Amino acid sequence: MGINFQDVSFAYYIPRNKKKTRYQLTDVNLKINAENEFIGIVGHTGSGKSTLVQLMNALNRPTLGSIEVLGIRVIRKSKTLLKPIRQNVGLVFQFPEYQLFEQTSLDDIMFGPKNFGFTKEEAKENALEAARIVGLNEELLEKNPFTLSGGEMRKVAISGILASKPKILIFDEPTVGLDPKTKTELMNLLVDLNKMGKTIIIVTHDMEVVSRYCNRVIVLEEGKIALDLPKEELFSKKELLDKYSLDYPVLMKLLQRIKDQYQVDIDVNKFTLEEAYLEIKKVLGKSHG
Amino acid sequence: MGNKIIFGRYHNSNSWFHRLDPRTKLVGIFFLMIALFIVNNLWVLLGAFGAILLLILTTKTPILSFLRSLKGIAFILLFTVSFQIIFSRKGEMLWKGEFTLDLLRILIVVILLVLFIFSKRLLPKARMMQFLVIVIGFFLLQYFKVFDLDFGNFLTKNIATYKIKIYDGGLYTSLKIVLRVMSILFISSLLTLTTKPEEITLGIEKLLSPLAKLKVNVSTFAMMISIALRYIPTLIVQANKILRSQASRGVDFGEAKLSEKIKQIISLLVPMFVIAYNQAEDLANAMEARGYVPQNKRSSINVIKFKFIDGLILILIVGLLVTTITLKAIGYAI
Repeated sequence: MGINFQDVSFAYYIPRNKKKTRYQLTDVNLKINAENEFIGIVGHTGSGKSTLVQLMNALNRPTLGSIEVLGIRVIRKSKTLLKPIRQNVGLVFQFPEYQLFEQTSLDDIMFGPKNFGFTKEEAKENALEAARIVGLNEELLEKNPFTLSGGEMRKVAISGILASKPKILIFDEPTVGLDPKTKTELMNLLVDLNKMGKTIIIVTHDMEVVSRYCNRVIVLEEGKIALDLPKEELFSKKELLDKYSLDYPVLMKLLQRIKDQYQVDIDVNKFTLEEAYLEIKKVLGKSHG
Repeated sequence: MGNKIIFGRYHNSNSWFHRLDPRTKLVGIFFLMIALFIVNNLWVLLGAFGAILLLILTTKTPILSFLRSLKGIAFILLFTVSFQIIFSRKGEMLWKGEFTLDLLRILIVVILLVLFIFSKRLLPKARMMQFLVIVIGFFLLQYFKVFDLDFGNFLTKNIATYKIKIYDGGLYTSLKIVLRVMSILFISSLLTLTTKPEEITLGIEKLLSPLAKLKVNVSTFAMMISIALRYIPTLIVQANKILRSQASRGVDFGEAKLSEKIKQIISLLVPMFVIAYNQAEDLANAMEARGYVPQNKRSSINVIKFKFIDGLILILIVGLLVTTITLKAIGYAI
């Protein structure tokens, strides 16, 4: 169970002459588990990242091929109910704060669950729990969402998705336009959610975020999946990063530079500050001892 | 995607008509429309339509995009024309027909309707038009007695007989309607297809500039129009995004009770207002930061020039209009 793409191609518009169709995605085969994955989707602007994630919760339907989401098959003209898919695969758009519209933040968080058929009490319970997870103050919940700060609005929007209890959570460019502190808070939140057993998928340009948090990286290029591999494997292959002009994380650059300059045996595949520090300490200890 | 909706109308090319002053086109087309409303003779209208087709040929714009402008009103036009033909009682009678109505035929139509409703549910894109063709086809078939159903019992007992008489007067009137509507649509499409939106706004601004003497701020008004035009595609893209983010929160745009529908529309409208206000504020700040002062006189990047050919064409069109009015006033049947 999970998300399973089978030979999926997608075009936003199919002209009368079908041969002239311009596909945004071609021949995508992909398997994503519904538990414990932390996936980063990277690629240049226009490579089809957003299109791909919108296929995952059936906002887009595949033009060719089929997608199975948590046991529900979606094809181009299927009449299947999409609500269960949308509930279980939560999609947080870029700048999700724009989707807010209710009088109070709590009402807005409850909007999703109510649409998915939860009773009012359940919806409220879910909303309060989601607000607690993202770290929203109780008093903020009674306020009008438009009076909140940008970071708080984004938290309200994210809890609005969380409150529907999705198994898989997709974030389209979650850290864009946030200050560094809120950004770290948000990423830590994603890590917590991942630890709770949810699959997290993020679409991003930020290789720091990918290297630090994701376990698996999917690289899209011109509508095709160019790479789909564990993080360690990607960052250990310099030629792959160069081939798809992906940026190196800063820690890797530093370790690589130490390695090149001092000709020491150092593992450059360290993604957190603590790991890198320990590695440098180890090498320094060796050379001094 | 959004760009296609409003600006896709302009067809880029470099014909003599494209190069005309937008003021000439605006005024000229306005006068031509008046003339078309005055004229009420089939042959004159036919000549005018032919002339417009010839004009279109010289502008290097594809005739297909003109036909596309008919799409929106084709149904209404068809409706009016068929009413004219069926109910008008002017002139000589050309053709007479008789349709009978009985229970069996009503039953067949009801069955067809039920089938259609079901097929609509099964095939989401079943078209109304196809269904109409089926029903009309059925009536035509029974008129020409392709399948003559007569069981001699109550099912085929005649309930009512409809007589349809077609007169040549109705035919002429409907032809005139079609010609007039098509002519007016084609020349107005000619304006939008050969003139960029910014040229049109500039033309309107220049035409309204005498109003400045009455303390009407024409340039601000023109700026408002061009900004509004510019932001339609942007807002469509934004609306689509909001639509999708609300859909992933479980909003099912399409089928819902009325009370839910209102909620759905609010969930779309409120964010759109927020976005529009934010964007307006950003734009206003950006304009001020670059030194925009509303009342100041400013030059335009598009310079429009009234050339010799513009004068010639305007004189021609005014002459045409005056001749039409004079001939009508004297009492010629044009």
